[in-house]
Amino acid sequence: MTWLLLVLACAGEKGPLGEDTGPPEDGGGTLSDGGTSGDGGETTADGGGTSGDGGGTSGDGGGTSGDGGGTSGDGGTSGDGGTSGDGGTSGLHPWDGLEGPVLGIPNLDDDDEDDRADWSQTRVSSAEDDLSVLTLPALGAGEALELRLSGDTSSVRVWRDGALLLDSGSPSARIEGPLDGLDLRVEFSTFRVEALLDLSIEGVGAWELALRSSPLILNHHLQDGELQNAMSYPGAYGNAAMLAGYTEILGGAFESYPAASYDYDVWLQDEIEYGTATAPGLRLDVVLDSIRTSRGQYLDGLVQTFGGPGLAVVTYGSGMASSQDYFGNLEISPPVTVDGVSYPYGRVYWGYTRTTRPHLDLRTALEDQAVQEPFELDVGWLCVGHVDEFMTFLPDPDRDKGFVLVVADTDLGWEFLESLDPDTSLSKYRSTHGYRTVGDMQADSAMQRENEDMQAENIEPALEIMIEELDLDEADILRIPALFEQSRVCGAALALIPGTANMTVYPMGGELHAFMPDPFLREDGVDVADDPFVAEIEALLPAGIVPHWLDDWNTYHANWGEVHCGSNTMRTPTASWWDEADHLLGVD
Amino acid sequence: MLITALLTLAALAAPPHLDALSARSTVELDRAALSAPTWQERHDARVALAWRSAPDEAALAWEGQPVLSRTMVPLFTSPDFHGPVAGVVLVDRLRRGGVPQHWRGGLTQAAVLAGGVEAEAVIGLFRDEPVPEARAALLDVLGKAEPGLALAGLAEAMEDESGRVRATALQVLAGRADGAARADLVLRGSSDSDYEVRAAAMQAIGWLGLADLWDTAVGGLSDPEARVRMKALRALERLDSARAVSLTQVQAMAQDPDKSVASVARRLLAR
Repeated sequence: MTWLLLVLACAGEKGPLGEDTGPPEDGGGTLSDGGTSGDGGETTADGGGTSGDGGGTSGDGGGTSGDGGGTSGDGGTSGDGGTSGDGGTSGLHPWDGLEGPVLGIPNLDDDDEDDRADWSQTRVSSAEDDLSVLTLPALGAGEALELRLSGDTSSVRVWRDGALLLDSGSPSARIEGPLDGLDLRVEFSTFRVEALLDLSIEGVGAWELALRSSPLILNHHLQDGELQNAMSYPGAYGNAAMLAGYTEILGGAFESYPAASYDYDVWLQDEIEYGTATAPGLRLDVVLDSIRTSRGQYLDGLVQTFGGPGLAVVTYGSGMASSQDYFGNLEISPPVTVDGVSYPYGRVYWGYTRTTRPHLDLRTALEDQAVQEPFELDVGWLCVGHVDEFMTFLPDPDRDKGFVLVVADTDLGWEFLESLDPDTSLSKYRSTHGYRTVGDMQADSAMQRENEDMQAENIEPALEIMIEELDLDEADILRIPALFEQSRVCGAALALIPGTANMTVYPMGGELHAFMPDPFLREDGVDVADDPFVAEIEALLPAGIVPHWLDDWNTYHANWGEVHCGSNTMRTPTASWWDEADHLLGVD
Repeated sequence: MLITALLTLAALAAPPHLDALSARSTVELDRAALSAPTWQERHDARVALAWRSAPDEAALAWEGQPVLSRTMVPLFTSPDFHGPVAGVVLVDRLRRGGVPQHWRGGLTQAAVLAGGVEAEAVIGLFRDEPVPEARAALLDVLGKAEPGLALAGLAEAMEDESGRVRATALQVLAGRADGAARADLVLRGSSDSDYEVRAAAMQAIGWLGLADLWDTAVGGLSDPEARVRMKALRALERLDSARAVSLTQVQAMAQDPDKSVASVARRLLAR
């Protein structure tokens, strides 16, 4: 939809001289002499100017197309409004075609690469490309445009020719004509800014434009991947095999960074979450930086190098983090409709325990974005306590909703285990979990009961919440075999078979890649393709999924994580929130 | 080159506390490892043998560093810490190596997984161990130990000052086929001040089929902690699901303030 916020000054219907103008579509007066072709889009005025000499909104300067100004990103494309509808040969004064809102993105990246967020600077650098352009029609000789900023003025600045025109300290300004049109640049400090820009020309009219910045929209698994990254951990027991697996499939879209430079911290999923802010012609990628590490220690040191042109680093909260503050515990569903309410960018969910939740500042910030209304799951039964440990979403074009919720199922896991040859030796399980053979696992009745309890007490209730909050039904759910074990060191559950649900999902050019942890439920020397667990899972996956099995055992699985925990994905934004999310943003 | 070689030799040398044992013959050490009167003497002999037979592996286990788990817990999960040599050396490290406290949980777990902790050693190590997570990890060995040793050890663990350790003791007990023999420990745990212990007691009632503790489990349904209510509900379900469904307390739990408890209750009632 078009966000038409124009309020005629003549407000209501009264022209500057007190005559009825009627609604815009009625014409409301005519361009007196100079009206030219007005086929939309941009100002072409050469004389401009309007006068209030009667007749509603007529002007005498002429030379402007009928649609007045428009808003656009720095790229100069016009905004979504701005036509007067009748070709400009008659009808509205050019200013009457001025439409809003002005849509933008937060200027939180660092286009001039001076290691400071651009908003924090008191100038607009030549490299700046994150400001929205508000193109105003011509202003006639003797006319003066009065501007006034209101609403969340501390989060908006308006620039004219590189000079600050409006901000919270000087919310009003006056521009004298004549001018051949005017480009103002609107800058936002953060997400979801709501402000108003009142414009008036004495004797002509007054207009009110909404200034809105994008919400922060976190990425979900149906969005194409653009970049996959992970830490490189060298050595005989490192993650070279996993990185090679990513590189083989993703090529230049995969990047790695040396863990040795960051205190051997390999948990990149936990440190950041990627999102975007968008506006017509504008895109800002956002690295949401967890409070997990700070002050440049561990992976915080890496994240501090991420900021730059087009990429902003944002943190909510501070202080001592719990595991629930890590972003393996922050995930996003694909688009859903729940009780008739469409969530075109999915919904955020996180895990909580008896005593902890993600930091209040983070929860509040994500709730304030409004477009991905969060909900939460109990993850207190898990040692690490992250939602990515037991469920995820896979694209599935063959299903009505376009996706399937993948959920660990320990009943299926035990059933599968019992189908295996008990004499199968399991060298990796022996050293990491204390099971020499499949038979050892089958004989562990305590582990069996633990898994029965986890399914009944933890996974099913969590699934019930997912079904309720996302309006799913059983057909939307894919249960996959899984087994956990009770860790004495942490007092809760860890994946016993590497957690398949803890996978990376990477759509790319129509291919749907899933990078999953190698289960190693086979004897040494047997190829992964012949692993019975691999065969079991691949038979369950949606038809379009291309599975890749990565060896994450030493670096991740043995240390309480899997493939997903050790990597991250930047994705292509799909959000046209100004068209799709009015109902969530409270816009009429 | 020479300096490197000397450093390597120094690194591979057994720690000084093994000097006396190093002078003994392999035959003597083998004999001591099998039949010395105390577990400490047997273990010392095994450590000396480990250094003699596989000095490289022993040195790696003696000096190896932890890696951080996903929750920043130091863990000794590298393959350097796998296998019988590493197992006995890791226990030696726990006993004499000046291990930082925050490493001890992970190091103990590695020692247990590598098979370095014999059941006879658990109680001794347990008594000397300052870190609750490490004491809890030691109890895993008692899950498969012979009954007398295991049940006595778990009873001692129920006296531990740490709720985590007491809860683990009940979890290990619940996993033993003979665990019902110490229903008294379960009963005691059901009124513990620590909710994790109460929850473990409820779980043990169900796992061990302690029908005599039916009323104790019913009492758990009104525990202020959701986890205890959940485990109590599940215990009753395991003991006699039809009888459990008939309880008004169970019926009321369909509206339990905890969503997971309510979910489990609803599913039970719907059967």
